Amino acid sequence: MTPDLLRQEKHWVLLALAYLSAWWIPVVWLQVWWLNPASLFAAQPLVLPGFFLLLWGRRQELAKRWSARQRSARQRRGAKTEGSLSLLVLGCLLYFVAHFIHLALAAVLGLVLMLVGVLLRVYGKAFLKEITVPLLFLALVVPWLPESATHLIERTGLSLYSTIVRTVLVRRAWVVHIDESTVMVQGVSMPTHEPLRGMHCLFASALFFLWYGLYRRLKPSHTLTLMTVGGLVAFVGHLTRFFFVIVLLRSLPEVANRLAKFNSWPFTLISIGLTFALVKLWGRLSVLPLLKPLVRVVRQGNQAFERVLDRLFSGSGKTLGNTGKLLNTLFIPILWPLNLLIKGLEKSVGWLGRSTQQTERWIQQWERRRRKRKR
Amino acid sequence: MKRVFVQMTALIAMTAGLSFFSQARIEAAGGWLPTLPASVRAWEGIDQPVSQGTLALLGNPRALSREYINHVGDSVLLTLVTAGPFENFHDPTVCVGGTGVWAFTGKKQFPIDGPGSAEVRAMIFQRRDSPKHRIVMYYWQQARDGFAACDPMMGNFRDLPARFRTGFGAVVLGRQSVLLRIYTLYNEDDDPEGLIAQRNVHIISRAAYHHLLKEGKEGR
Repeated sequence: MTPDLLRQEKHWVLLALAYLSAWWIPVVWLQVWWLNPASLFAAQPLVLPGFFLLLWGRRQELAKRWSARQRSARQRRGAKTEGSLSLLVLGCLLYFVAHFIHLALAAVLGLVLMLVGVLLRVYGKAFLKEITVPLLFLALVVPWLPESATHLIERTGLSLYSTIVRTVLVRRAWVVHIDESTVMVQGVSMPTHEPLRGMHCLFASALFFLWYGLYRRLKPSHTLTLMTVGGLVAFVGHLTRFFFVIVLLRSLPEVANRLAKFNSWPFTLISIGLTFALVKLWGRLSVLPLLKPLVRVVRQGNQAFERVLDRLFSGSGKTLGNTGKLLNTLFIPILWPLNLLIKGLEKSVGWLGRSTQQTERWIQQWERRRRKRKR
Repeated sequence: MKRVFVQMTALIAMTAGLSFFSQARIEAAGGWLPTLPASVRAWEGIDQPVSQGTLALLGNPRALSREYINHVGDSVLLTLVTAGPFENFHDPTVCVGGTGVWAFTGKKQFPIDGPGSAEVRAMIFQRRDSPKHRIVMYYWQQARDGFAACDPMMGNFRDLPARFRTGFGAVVLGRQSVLLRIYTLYNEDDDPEGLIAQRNVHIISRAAYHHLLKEGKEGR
């Protein structure tokens, strides 16, 4: 953005500043949810910049259509392109009334209406139709869910993670007790820190991939797949963290406490990165051969690591032999708890048992097909 | 077009300004901390500390707590918290009932001192693991200008009219108020109908109501 453009559009800058200042009080009300990295809705405020990025991604076609409409309006003299102020006024009213009842939902909805009202006033109804999808995305910034539903989701998340972890550890004769206030492992306890609930990673990841799908204009089915895979990877990622916390609590309670309290954003970002890696690996077949040398190196490291693990945990080597090698290769830094998990899940989840040889065969087949296509 | 932007910017800036003003007025609504009666007839008041945990749960309002004891050893506890932001308005049915120890068993609303006086809400809680132990509690909100209400205000949607009335009072009328909880514990073996307990709570509540009314009028 050049200084000239800024000077030319300074009326937008002033309006944006006034609008941003109106967000201050609702953000203060929502700080427990929005400014707490462990909260389910920690990612929700990012919807607003996400909306502007979606508009930015469509800027060229929007500009073309806008100038076409301006031309046609000039031809039909007196025809208006802009809309009325009514929506902006309605938004302002709703926003102001929200202060009497201290209702963040009404305040944020008012702010959204104010923004849409400004766009309506300046560009008209037809423009709003062009940006229906970004507007629907913008609606996600409103905290629609009541507090009770949010707590229910968080409780359910904690219960799900703890059930899986307990099921695996009970097989190793560990005594594990996890509830909303306390985690106790073999007689050592710590508080159930907020980040352990873990649903925020899923929500943030799903929200990001929804935005990504809309930004890249992927098919709805692809976006949905991305969101699902992203959610699953975030789930496995948090489960791994949960597992580490529980396992370390007995021997290294300080480390377990720190890991449990650690900011959740880095884990969410890692899970988003892993999702992209997985999708590239499985979705874009031509990438696989390029990764082949890397996969081989990582696999060798993995095997060496497994030998050490087999010595440490005699007996587990048999089951590890042919189980989840591909996942082990990808998740080598978190191999140990994953192996324990796989042990618990191996009977019910058959697809994890696909061997590396199978993957090699797939890679060879894909290479052959690619060569054929090239010819 | 420039005129349109001036209109819109002015409208949004005014709304944002009103937002800051409203928030400041709501904070100021908790600015009145009256005194409590030192004694009520034969009841002697002894100040009690309010735990930091309780204050944190209530959004850190200013608070007073006093235990009134009579010559036969009956005691009634009075707690007063300033009523600014809505976090301060924790309803006893949620706070006391939500602990899991006490079950909320009944309520009744009536004027504390005949027609025209403040409506208070009387509630009964029963101990879950020892059903003979009960709490009788009076709860109400009293403003400096004499306005009083006892509606619950924790539900965002359920209690919308009551919240609007309180918010409007604080923002537009500049009303400052406090929340009172006056309660005692009794055992059904000693007080089968809970009549003595309720009488004791009623005496202290009525005295506190009149004391606050007087203090509000004097503008102290």
